[in-house]
Amino acid sequence: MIKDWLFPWESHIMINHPLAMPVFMGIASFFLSIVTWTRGNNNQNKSKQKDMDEN
Amino acid sequence: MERISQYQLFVLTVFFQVGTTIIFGFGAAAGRDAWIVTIISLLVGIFVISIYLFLSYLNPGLTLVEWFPAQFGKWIGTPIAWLYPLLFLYEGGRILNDIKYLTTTIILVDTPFLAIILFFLLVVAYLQYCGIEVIARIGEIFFPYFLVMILGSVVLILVSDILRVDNLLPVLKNGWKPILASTFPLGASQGFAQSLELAMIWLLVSTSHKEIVKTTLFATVFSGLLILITVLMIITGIGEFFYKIESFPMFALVSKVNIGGIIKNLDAFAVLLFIISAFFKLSLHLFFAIRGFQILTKVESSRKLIIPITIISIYLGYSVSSNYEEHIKVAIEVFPYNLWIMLLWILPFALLIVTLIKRAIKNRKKEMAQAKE
Repeated sequence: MIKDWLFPWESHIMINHPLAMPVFMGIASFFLSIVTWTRGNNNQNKSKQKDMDEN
Repeated sequence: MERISQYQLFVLTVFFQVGTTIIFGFGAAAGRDAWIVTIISLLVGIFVISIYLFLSYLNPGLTLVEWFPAQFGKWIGTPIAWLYPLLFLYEGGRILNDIKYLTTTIILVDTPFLAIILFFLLVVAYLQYCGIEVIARIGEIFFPYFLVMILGSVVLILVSDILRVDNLLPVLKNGWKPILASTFPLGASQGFAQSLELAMIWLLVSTSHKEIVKTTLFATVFSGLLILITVLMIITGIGEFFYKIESFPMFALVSKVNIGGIIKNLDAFAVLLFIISAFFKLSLHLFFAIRGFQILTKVESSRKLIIPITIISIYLGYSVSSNYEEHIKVAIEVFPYNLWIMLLWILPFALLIVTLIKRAIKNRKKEMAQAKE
């Protein structure tokens, strides 16, 4: 059962558990968003540091 | 920054919208009325693509994955935006499965799936390194050949005298219900609403937004007519029964061509048409996925992402479906309902509403500030 939700893109799982794929994509996109948020902050910090160095 | 011309946008849009439909058929569930499904889907498609183009006008200088954080804010918008590169990746995996089933059934029988997927993806991955300009230029070169092959097939099919207009009759025998069921969500989404993905490259077109709108809509009508001609030929050529049960109906049709016992077995034409359109559709899916990942992970060069995404695609190409029946069942009964409705219809419409409300509030505040002055 847990295996079904780990590989939801497989066709037999999509047929038997149609909601598995949208749920998986939702969870994956949330975790990937953390990368965006943290990298966004890093980039902001880097640009602030660069501005300070230039000043 | 890479740039593509207006004509290249037209070519890529046509390849993307026609995709593998040309071989698998369109609206087969509606039987002999599939041509009506094609016309309605085209009209709905034009409407929904106009909405996407309007969204790109309302969000100038932003790609699809940037629209959502810009309008919904980073906490809600970013997770929604991430859904799209994941969808492109999955759709790329599905195209690879289309390729593996057609090639192993028709031209490379008994060849291991992995060998086919691997060699196909090697070329596609190389194109990703070359960039969208090269993909578009190759599209520009292949497009006339693609059209000549379609035209050649049409002429040879007409000359073979295998088309029976009676196969289209009676029209609407089962009423409108099967037609509407085939139109939404599958028909209108397949190719047409899927064009939302092209919002990843609209920014790269070296022309005004007005010209992008004209080109995209013209390309949509062109693709719709190509699909309509194909559907009409297949139904009149092989009949409703075979259109419904054949795995590759276009292939079945061209196999019937026989002109005086000399020109026959045009299977190569159908396979070439399929390989060309699948190649461009896969290249675009992967390009959009890589670009989406690059924008959202804020990586400077997309080249760093090509190898990991190609490896994921190889895995998806191998694992998405274990047999052809399941692959088609997912394409018709599951995928359009659980992913396309949400990602191609609900979310863009919600985005449109939010964008318009935010603009109205902004304009009102501006007016009030001006009135105070």
